[in-house]
Amino acid sequence: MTNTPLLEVNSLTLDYILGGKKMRALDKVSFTLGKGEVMGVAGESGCGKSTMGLSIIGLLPRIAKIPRGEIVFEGDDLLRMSSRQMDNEIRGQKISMIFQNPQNALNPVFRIGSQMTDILKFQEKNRKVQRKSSRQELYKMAVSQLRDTGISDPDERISNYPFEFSGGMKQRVMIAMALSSQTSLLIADEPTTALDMTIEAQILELLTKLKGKYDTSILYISHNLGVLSQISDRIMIMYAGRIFEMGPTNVVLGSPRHPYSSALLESLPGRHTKGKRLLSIPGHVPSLDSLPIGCSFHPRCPFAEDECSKVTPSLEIVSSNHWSACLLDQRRGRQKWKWI
Amino acid sequence: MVLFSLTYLLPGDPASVMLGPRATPQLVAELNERLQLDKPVYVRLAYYIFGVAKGDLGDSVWSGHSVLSLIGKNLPHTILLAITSLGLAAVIGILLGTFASIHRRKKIGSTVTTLSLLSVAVPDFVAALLLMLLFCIKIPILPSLGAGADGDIMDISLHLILPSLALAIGWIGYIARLTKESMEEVMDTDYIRTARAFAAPINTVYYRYALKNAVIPTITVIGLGFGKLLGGAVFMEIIFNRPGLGKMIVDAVFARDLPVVQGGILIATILFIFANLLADISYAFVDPRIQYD
Repeated sequence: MTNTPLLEVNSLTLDYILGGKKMRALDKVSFTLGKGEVMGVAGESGCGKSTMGLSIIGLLPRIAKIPRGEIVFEGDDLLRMSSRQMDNEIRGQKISMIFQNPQNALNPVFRIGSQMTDILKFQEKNRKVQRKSSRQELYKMAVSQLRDTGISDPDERISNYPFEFSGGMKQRVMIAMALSSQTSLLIADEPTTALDMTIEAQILELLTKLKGKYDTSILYISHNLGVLSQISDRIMIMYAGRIFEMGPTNVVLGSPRHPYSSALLESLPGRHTKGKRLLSIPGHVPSLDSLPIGCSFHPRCPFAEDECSKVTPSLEIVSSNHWSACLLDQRRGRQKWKWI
Repeated sequence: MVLFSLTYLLPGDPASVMLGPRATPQLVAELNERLQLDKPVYVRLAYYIFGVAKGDLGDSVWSGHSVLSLIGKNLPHTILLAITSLGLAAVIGILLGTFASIHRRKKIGSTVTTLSLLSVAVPDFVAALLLMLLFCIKIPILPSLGAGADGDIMDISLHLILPSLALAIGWIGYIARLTKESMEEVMDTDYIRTARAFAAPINTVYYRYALKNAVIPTITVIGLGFGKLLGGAVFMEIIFNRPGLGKMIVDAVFARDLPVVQGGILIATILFIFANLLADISYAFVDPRIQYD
């Protein structure tokens, strides 16, 4: 990690506007990501993880509006860039994104090879290289990318259609396309959620390998803390559009300061809970158009006190490099959250 | 067989139509014997089926030419008309639909959408008469009647413009609307988002990645529409006085020329089935997931 971060998100606030109703999907999200660092983003479904990823790469749906905040990437605010500028300089070159469901992520009616060479062509065009590679050269590059991701017989497989690939192989293709040598940030939005566990392990291994090779930073979005503990340097726990806790992986997972983080950990199946019931957090993630006042988690939090329903806690530093947004924790110091 | 029995529901018998009101019963009987109309229905059906199996559809009662030769003369005109208008409808419809979906938030896009909705509502014979009025009478630049001189490609094409356009108008609207809807659906898919995440130029996204997926349902409709188009072609052939399968059948019905009616409808049916088969096969060209062994 170097001193100047690769990505700096400052109080990013995002609303979805639907039928005149404003729904706050992200609320004052701030964090930094260093070069070569892997940041894990965790939280239940619908808490703004994917929205955050999409806002960085600038592919938000039309109904999303960003009233405040900045996303500084290599010194430039991405929110101020035009879509054309994003296309020419950022998307697919410096920032890539891979998505949750590899089954649908590739165009079903084009061959793998033609999709891969197309993307290489776009990258060359946007990089304004002097000499454009010929079809054969692009093809060779695509084959070697496939080989890098561990697909056997890449020479033959490259002329297959996506439906002839398994889910894991499609995700490998996605990773191959996403990690050209230029990519400095990869946003991985639950890339292994749709895959089974052995494939998941292989994909994680592949990501770690390629990250080492290209020194790529990764924003790894997942609701699976087990996966995050394997791959990420730091972890961010999100809830209802806010960051609840952020810090080095072993610290956050080892001694969480926020009751929500500790609940997520308790609900994880693991060896130490053998014979014990897993925790299921009562209630569900609040809908964005009716967020509770105060701490958005207080209706589900058994430790909540009066204050929690009045004051909205901000993310504050609790120990070195470790941030948390729980009022009780901030007022009284470290608490033991006994969920079970 | 259905075809065969249907023709017997027609009122009037061929002999009296052919011989006119002054025919003597003796003459009628003679003709009926020659045409085997005196035999029982099942015998005639057997004769007919054997004939068809041998490739003999019988002779026209009226002109004495074989039905096959009549069809051979008329069919090319109908097929030319149907294929031209289908081609027009597909090309213009798909382009308009894509255009409307790309510009759906602008005025021009919604105008195209509205126009295509309107055009679906115009019956093709009305469109034919309007076009005729416009281009043959108000601004007389196109020929109105006939199919053009044989072998003169320029003349044939000129004669083809109005009928095929009239036949295509409703289809253009229909296909445009279908393409637009399916384009919008495709634009929301994950793979389009992937393409956007890799900075694919927006025109490439629309015209290459999205369109190829979006035309798949359109092809079904074109295939199924061929039958309806044949029906429309009958109107066109009558309005523009073109030779063709439809006009041949209609004339034959009026003349009670049963073998011609049967033969014509049989060929039209085969054509219809063949068109559906073609549509099914054409899927494989756009959608690699479908393969025929």
